[in-house]
Amino acid sequence: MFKTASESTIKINREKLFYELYESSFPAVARFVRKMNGNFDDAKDIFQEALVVYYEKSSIEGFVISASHEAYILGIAKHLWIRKFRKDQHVVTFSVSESEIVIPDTHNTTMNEERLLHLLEETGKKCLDLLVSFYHDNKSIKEIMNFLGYRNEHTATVQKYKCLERVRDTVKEKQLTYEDFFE
Amino acid sequence: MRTSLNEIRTIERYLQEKMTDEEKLSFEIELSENKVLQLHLGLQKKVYRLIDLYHRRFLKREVAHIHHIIFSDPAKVKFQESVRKIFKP
Repeated sequence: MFKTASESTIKINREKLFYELYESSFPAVARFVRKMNGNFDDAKDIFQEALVVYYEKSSIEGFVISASHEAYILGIAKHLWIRKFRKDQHVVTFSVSESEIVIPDTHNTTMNEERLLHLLEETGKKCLDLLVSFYHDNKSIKEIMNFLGYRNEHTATVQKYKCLERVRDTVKEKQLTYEDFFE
Repeated sequence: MRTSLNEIRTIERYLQEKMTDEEKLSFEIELSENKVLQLHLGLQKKVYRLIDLYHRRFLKREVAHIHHIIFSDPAKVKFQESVRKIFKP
């Protein structure tokens, strides 16, 4: 990853949030998993997944929840549990606010998406890091320009489009190999 | 900027709904007639999906790291025990 002051601030704040949520929300999720006859590792996996879903949802503009963050994370964990263990779908009970939580179908990755990601991590990591800075860390073109050492915003913008093109061409090249990615 | 990069920028503006009604209409007309543009639009959607997945992978690593810190910190013994107790037979 490229390192900048603002990037590390984003990272530090996020880690602080994860840390606090871990302490406040993990026990409730662990109790739920125990009730479902799961073990500590099951609880760890489901909770970590739920935390990521929560973070992604909370990053979307206009995100509001009617319950507490802890209750919301427990709700996500319940949905993820059912997705993983279909047989438990009649056993798990949801409160009204929990039942309103929607986890997108696109949450799970396909095998071929995994393969493409792996390939891109090996061959185009720098571009992926740059694109994440643009689309997820909400960096301005000016910040990107500064940390890449470009003299003007135009060059940084061009670099972003070049990276999009590079990733696109890799996807295009692999589309016949990884056919189900395009289903 | 190269023509191909301009096309990427145009597709991005379309997908992010940043076009005026007039631009959108004109883009959609071209899209209906241009097979290469249709292909590029589909591919660019996949690129954004991959960027999201890559970011998610990064978040997962971060969360796993927090777990490791909390469950190996001597100052957090009480918390560690309270969670482990839940799984005691």
